[in-house]
Amino acid sequence: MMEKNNIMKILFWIIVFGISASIPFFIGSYYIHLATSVFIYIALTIAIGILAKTGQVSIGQAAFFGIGAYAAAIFCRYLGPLPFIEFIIAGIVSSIFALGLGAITLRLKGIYFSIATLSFAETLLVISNMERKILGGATGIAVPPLFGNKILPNYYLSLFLAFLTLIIAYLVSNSKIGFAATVIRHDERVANSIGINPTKYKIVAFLISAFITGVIGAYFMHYVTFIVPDEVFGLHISVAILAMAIFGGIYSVEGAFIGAASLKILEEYLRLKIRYGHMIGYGIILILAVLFMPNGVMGLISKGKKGFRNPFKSIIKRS
Amino acid sequence: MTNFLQTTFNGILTSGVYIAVTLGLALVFGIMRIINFAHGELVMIGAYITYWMFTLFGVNPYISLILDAGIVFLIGVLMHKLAIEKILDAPSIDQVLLTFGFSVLFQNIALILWTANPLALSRETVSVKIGNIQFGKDRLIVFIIGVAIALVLSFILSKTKIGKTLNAVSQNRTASYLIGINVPLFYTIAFGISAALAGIAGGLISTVMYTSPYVGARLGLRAFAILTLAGLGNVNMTLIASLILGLSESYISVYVPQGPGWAEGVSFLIILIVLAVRPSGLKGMRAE
Repeated sequence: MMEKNNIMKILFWIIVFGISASIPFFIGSYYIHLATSVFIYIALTIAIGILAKTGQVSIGQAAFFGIGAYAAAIFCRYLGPLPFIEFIIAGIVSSIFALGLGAITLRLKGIYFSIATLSFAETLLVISNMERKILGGATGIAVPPLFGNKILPNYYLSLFLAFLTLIIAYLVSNSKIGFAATVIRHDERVANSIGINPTKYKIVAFLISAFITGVIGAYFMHYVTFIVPDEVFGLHISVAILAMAIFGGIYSVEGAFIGAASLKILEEYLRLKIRYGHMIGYGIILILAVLFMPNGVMGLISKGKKGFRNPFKSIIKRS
Repeated sequence: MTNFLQTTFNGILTSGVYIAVTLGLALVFGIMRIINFAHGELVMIGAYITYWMFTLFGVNPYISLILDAGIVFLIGVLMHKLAIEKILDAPSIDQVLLTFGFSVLFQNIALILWTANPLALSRETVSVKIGNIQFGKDRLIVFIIGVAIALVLSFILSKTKIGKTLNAVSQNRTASYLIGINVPLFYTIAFGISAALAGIAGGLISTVMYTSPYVGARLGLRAFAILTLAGLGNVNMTLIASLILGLSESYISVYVPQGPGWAEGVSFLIILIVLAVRPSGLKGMRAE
């Protein structure tokens, strides 16, 4: 039996999908490009959320984005452009790297997990900048565009990928993985005692998250037709994904949608206004979100005023 | 052989910069268990202060250190009072995200104000020659000041009343309250001192490196590596870890093809390896 709540949710998403699918007919090509990058970031933000549900907040998501992009670009160079096979390969390669990193990070908690993921992404940035034979060094790799670089097919592919990610996220969160993740996030000992193996589910969440991020990286690479290390491994990508997730509400799919859409548009606006330093919006959003609304916009919507944290009340307990 | 000696010496001198940058980070982590991701950006602010004091008013960079310390101390106190203090008891990931947000904020303010152009103090660099080894006088001064601050800090933490109080607060916050220590005040002071140390480090690096909005991020990440390698509460280990990083970067720069580029990655590799080997976290971390 489907609950009423779920039917409402499905209806809601069908409407959002319908609106998204029809907007290209009302807006100019510049805005279609903007909407395409919004959908790219929606998928990335949902993917970090899947990982975060197990209590692992990555500040190096760019690593998997870049791995996917490079894997697809290298595949493309040697075996010709086969877009959808490339996407799958990119996802698989990303997951393999996630497995390797997971072997290190699985036992890490809190700040150590963050530092490790950050270091991982920065290591890959250095390698991709320096390795010239295969990765093309700092000048990167040129790749052929998809659909002859037409705007509309690219837009619909990004829309499709974003909604596919959304469906995967719902399936994951309604499966045993979603339940296990929530328990693990709150207390790993409790998880163990009720027969949930934290290691297994943390790895699974990591793999799914890396797979999606890798696929999106591969798509992004074709979309911009060129990859240079800093555009795929750069810290600014990790920052953007993180801020979007935190702002929207990191544990909710709807939050990812809201966060990615609003912040990407804000970023674009700031980019046009100020020449250097348009990332400032992400910094301010991160600070304000952590201080005032730790559960993001979705926390505000679901809890009303309780979603706010009152930062002016000293938290230091005198007990 | 000359080349090897020169490379070794360069590495040692570079480690002086790293020590200066790491001390403040280690202080706050030791007392409050918070990794300040914006620490590198506080260093960057210090560097800009020295740069502008020198460029606009001709102030000697080493005299500016006092100003660096003072201004960045105030920034640190503000940052602590307005933000960090509110989330001391929040999950550690909130602290990561908050300080990370400050790092992005400071970096972009610098970009808006001064663009991404790397700036260097326009003054004569004096070279010193000992035997076959040659180096800039500023690099030696930076090294000496970096080590000197480390030793003074080590002395303060282990021998003075302030140090003992800080130690007590870091070991047991509740008990410290009970014996009448004003814990919030001490946290504020500790955070301010950490920021002041960052400011001094920034002033020092502006004499030997280019000042740019990204300089802090680069140095901050190296400080994480040193802190991860050195563990906590031991200034000697911080000195050794800084030496290891400085020397390995120096050797790689010279002896590996395209070395300077690869050397950028050493600190990250150190972090990943140390965390893989010792996942429970930094040495000296309290068992909780």
